[in-house]
Amino acid sequence: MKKSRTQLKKALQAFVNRMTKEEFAASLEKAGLEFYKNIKAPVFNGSKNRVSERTRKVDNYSDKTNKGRFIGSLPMPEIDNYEIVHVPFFKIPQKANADWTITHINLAVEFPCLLSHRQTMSPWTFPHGKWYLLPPDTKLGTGEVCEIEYYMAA
Amino acid sequence: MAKLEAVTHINKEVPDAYHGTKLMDARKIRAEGFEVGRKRDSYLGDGIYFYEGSIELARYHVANRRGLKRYGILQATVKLGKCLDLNTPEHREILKTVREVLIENTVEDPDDLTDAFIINWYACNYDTELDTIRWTLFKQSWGQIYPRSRVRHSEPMICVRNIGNISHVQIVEEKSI
Repeated sequence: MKKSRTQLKKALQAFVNRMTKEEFAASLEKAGLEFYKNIKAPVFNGSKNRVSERTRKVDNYSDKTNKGRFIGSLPMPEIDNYEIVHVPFFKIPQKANADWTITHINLAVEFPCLLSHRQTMSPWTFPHGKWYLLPPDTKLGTGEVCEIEYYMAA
Repeated sequence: MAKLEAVTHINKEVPDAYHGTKLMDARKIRAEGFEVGRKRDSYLGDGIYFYEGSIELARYHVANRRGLKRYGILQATVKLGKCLDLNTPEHREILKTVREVLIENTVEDPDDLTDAFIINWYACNYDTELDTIRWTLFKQSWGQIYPRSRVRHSEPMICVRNIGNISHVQIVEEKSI
């Protein structure tokens, strides 16, 4: 198996090497960039995502309270709808003051049939404008309403 | 270097593949046939998804997960043909290898690479004759069927990329209330 894997890898690499940079980019596009980008990391990026219609409220960050919030539903595969899944990424919006960091995050998820779940994660320090992976034990119900409230400090 | 054919043809048919969908769509499919579209929530990339051997799984999917009140379940025969069978370790290795190559040739976060993307890239570019993908969906959270059992809940699925491999389509159940 190891031998055939090595052979396949060589063949695939040779296949890729024969492509120009543009052709390779086109091959990725053909595979569906929506799979590449959006299944795992779309949820709370209100500015340019394709699921924004499912996002009820994106960001109401307030300088007075140093608090912002994302509310949205999780666009995970519908086959997952009934169960608990590990979830994904969210994105903190770029703020004018880049020195600010997130001090802690409240994560609230409503499971209509099960229970309401709230968890606080702290303290995290993040630069802004990037995707972040929630801790591995974070579980959300797919398709359910999810709210992330974040607090920032200088 | 010549293209290495990692996936070979399987001469096997699955006569009891089930696909659940909206009642209207089921009737349309019965009359006009399937159409492959791209859905963002596809696990195994582009294709028509079937449950293998269980009408109950198809029913549960439409009625409980999708919450449809009016649905139809289609039964079809699926010829596996050139099948990426992810139930076999050999074919899982293919997926891993393709992922590695994509990571080595792209600069973005490898965690963004989903199964659907990797399979689509492979099937849209390298092995364009891939007919089907076969897989048994299993999740830790589903658990055993009873305490201390080694048997766990699982869902055998087939994703058909080549609709020419689907035949004998019939509606076997309709619910319209």
